[in-house]
This record gives sequence, structure tokens and C-alpha cells, in this order.
Amino acid sequence: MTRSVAPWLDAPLSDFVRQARVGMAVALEPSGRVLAQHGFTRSLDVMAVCSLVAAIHASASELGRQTNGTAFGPLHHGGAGRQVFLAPATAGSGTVLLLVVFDDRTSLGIVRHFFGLFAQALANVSEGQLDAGPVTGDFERDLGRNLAMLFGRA
Amino acid sequence: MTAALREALGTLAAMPGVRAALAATESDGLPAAAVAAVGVDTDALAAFATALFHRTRLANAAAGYGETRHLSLDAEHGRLFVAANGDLALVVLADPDASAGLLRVALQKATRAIT
Repeated sequence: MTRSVAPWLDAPLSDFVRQARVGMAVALEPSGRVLAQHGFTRSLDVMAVCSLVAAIHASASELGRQTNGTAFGPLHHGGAGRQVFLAPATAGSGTVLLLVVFDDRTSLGIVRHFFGLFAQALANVSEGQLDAGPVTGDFERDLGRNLAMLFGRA
Repeated sequence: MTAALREALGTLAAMPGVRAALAATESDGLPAAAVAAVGVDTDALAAFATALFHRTRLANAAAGYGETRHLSLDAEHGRLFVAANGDLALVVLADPDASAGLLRVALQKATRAIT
């Protein structure tokens, strides 16, 4: 089940998960603050994943800037049974990171294709809708509240 | 792209009614090489055609029909043909009036040629 704290992410993420047939997905801000998730059952897992994703994205972006002149694009890691895909999408003036965990029920090509549609949907979100986002400026407080909302404790 | 693959795709793409011929890895659905008309989204074609072939192959194996040789799909506005050699799949997208028989033979020949 897809759960989010940002209403403008509900439909794009639900569509992406259903169409791309992925098992788990997390949408977050580059700071590591979770916005939406699908497939995770424990808030601690989501918190750990978001921290790792934020760090990976920051490292890869900086590495890209230093070696390539600009940040690298999507990142893919293939494993024995599961694979991960991590890519940034633009929403208003900000960035949303999407981490996807998938297996052989789908393929990287399919995930990439539907990520393109997801990114397009986010690009069409108006600033007015984004302003309704759950951000107070206090990172710890926002993170805790978002996790509580995602896992039905708020 | 190897010479054999380039030649195989060139031959397929030159056949009457063909809009795209591409090679893609079946496991990840990414295009390795493509010859396509303007407007054909080769990334999407590779992703969906290989996913379809992969599913068909699994279904055939589960049903006890053995190895899947090729897949052909007729739709209102076009025809799709897929055949694989190992993890490399050859995909042909054609107009509805393209000759299915000729394309099927050419695809099988091309699949053998890229071994």
C-alpha cells in the first residue's frame, strides 16, 4: 500500500508502483526527509533507507560534479535477486528522490520508462500544491512526524 | 555494436513496412542497438517488447511447451516480432500491412546470425 505525507505524490507514486510492478519505493527530499513510501512495513527501515539514499545521492552528485562537470543522473545497482534504482525528479523548485527496489517481475527498462512518467507528473505539479507540503523547517520534527503519518501513528 | 548485429538490424530495418529493428537485453530491457524511424521510442519499445517476451517465455515453460522461439503480436496499428538468442532479444516493429511471414523468417535468420 502506498502512503504519503504529500498529497501531490499520492497519484504519481501509486501509478508508478502499479505500472512498473516494483516491490518497494520511497520518495524523499534530498535532505533525507521521507515524503511517501510503498512496501515497507517498519518505520525504522524507511528512516535508515532515507538516510542512506540521501548520502548516496549527495556523494554521487558531488562525484559527478567533480568528474563530469555536472551531477550524475539515475543510479542502478543490480543484485542477485533484487535491484535498486535511484533517480531525482523535479517538483516545483525542489527535488524529489525516488528509490525503487525491484526483482525479476519487472526490468530496469520498464522501471526507467515509468520513472520518466513519474518525473513528468511531478513536473506538472503546481507550486500551490507543493506549498501544502509537510515541512516546518525543523528536520527532526518533520522526519518524526512524517514517519508517524506514514505508519499510521499520527 | 558488432558487425553481425549491425548487418542484422540493417537488413531487418530495410524490409518493407518495418518501422524499427532493435537489439535489447532480455533481462533488463535496455536497448543495445537500434535502427528506427523518427518518432519511435526505442527505449520504451525495448522495455515492453522484452518484458512481453520474457513473460511469454515463462508462461510457455510453465505450461510445459518448452523453449519460446519467437513471439509475434498483431495489433490494429502495427505488428511486433521478438526473438531471442541467449539474453539478447531482437525486436521488430512493423506496419500492419507488413508481411508477417517474411519478417518472421528474416528475424529467425538474424537471430541465428548474431550468435
